[in-house]
Amino acid sequence: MEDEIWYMKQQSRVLQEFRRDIQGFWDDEAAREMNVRYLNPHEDDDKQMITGLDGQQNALQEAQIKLASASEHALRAEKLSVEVLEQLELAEQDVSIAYQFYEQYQNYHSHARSFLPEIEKLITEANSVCRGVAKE
Amino acid sequence: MGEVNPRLLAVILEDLQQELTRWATVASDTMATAGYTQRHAEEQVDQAHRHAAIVNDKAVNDRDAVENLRGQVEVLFSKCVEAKQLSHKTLAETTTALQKAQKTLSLWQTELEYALAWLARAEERVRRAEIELAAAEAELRRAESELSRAESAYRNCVNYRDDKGRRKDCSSEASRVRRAQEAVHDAVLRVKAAQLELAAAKAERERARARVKCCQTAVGIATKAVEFAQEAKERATMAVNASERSLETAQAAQRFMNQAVQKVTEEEEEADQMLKDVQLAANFTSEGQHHFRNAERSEESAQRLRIITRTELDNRIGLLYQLNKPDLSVGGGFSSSSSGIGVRATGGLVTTPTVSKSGWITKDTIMSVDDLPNPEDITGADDFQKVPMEQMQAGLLRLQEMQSAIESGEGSNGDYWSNRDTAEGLEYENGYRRIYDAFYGNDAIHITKNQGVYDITNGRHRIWLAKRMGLKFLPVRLVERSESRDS
Repeated sequence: MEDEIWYMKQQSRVLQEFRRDIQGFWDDEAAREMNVRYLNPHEDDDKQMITGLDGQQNALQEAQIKLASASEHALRAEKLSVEVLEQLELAEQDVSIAYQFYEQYQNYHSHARSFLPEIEKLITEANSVCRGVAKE
Repeated sequence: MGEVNPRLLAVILEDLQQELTRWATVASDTMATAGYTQRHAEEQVDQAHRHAAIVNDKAVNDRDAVENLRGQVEVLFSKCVEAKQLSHKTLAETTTALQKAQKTLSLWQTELEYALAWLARAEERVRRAEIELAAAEAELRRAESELSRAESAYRNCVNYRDDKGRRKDCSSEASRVRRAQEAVHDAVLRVKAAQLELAAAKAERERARARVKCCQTAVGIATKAVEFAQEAKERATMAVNASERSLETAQAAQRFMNQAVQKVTEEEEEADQMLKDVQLAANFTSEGQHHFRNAERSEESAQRLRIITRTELDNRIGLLYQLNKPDLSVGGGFSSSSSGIGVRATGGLVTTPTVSKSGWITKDTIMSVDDLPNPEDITGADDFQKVPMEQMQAGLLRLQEMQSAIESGEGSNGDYWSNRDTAEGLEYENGYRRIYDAFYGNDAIHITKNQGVYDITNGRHRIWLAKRMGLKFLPVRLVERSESRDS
């Protein structure tokens, strides 16, 4: 749009320059009336239009900058999201493995503990077998 | 001002018209581009809004997933810490149990050794006692045999009578008998003692055997206890290893979770920042829209002024050319001033004016709505019979859209609008062609100007509505007599 606005300004300038150029040739009462009623207001409207277009262009350029920035933030956020998922996946794998080891621990531990009362019983039994049997 | 060559002036005015036309084309194109650019920017902002919403939703979902898993990891970590503690405690207990079992086994192994030694000694005692008994019994037999012989000898001696009938002296035989009897007595005592000793030795042997047996049993039981304790310790060691590996893996999971927490926080910040940027972009786009609307209004006003100007220039150029032409047979025409330009600007024309035989000039022009008379007979919507007021209002609004295309020449014929209706899928009743026909066709607003006074011949409702809507200009078909411009 920058080119179009530049071209528009050019065209406006050409028109006004032409008006000034022909002023010497066309300067009667009707010319003055046309200038006052139509051509001068036309020039004012033209300037306002160009001001509006400039304002629009500047505003849209700022908007584009913000959109580009937003796009970069989106890219970074999406990249971070992928990394989050990767970390979660690794953590889940480790959780699964840890629970497998935990299950092993539970089995071994309960098995080990189950022996303890039996061992105590055997020791007691061993120590009582010779009760009442004379020694030398 | 000096005299100006009319032909030169006409050329200059035509050039001015051309410049105005070029300006109009460029302005129209520029506004079209600006409008497209504005719409495109607004679409981009809408798209960015949707994208930002998606990114934000993703961040929220990721946060939920992280928190959910973090809770699980924390629970797992607590379990693994407790498991490690318990497994170490159990290992200590099984180690203690093993030590105790081994000590018990060692004790009873020692006791068994003692018992076996005792048994060996008891066995030896029994052997010696049996030998002694055998010897004592042999001695007794010998003593009894000697006694028997001694008694026999004594009897023989006692019973001997010599030839004289005298007895022999049997004291020696008697002594031998006495000695034999004593020997028998001693042998009997010895046998009894040996028997007692043998019995005692056997009893001791039995006690030793019993001791050995119970010690063997105790050793067997203790050995089993040691085996159990060893297995228990082995299991406990494996439990410790498993618990420690579980804890290490849980710690690794925790580290991954911490990373995930950090990254999801960053992700939320980026999503938030994106949202803010999009909002700012929306604000800027809205500002651009405001500027565009201002430019649009200015361009519309400038276009209308350009149309009026061009029409006025058409008039003047026409008059300038007429100055150099013979009078027309229809009479009238325009009176000329020294400059040839004495017509007051009253409006603009798209078409060239036509002159009737009676001197009425008909021309299509654009007039200021304020200059048009106010139809007094119309007061409201109830006065709209042929076309409802709402429909006419819509038609006037559509006319405003069409105006620049018409005045630029592109839309200055009905076929253009018919093609547009077809392209947009519009029926005639709802299309652009109908509007064009209503204002530029046979049903155009018809105004008569006579001696400076305007009269509405056709289009009273449209003029009334245009005034209420605040429209500035309307295309009309103006019919005036040549004297009317002197007012």
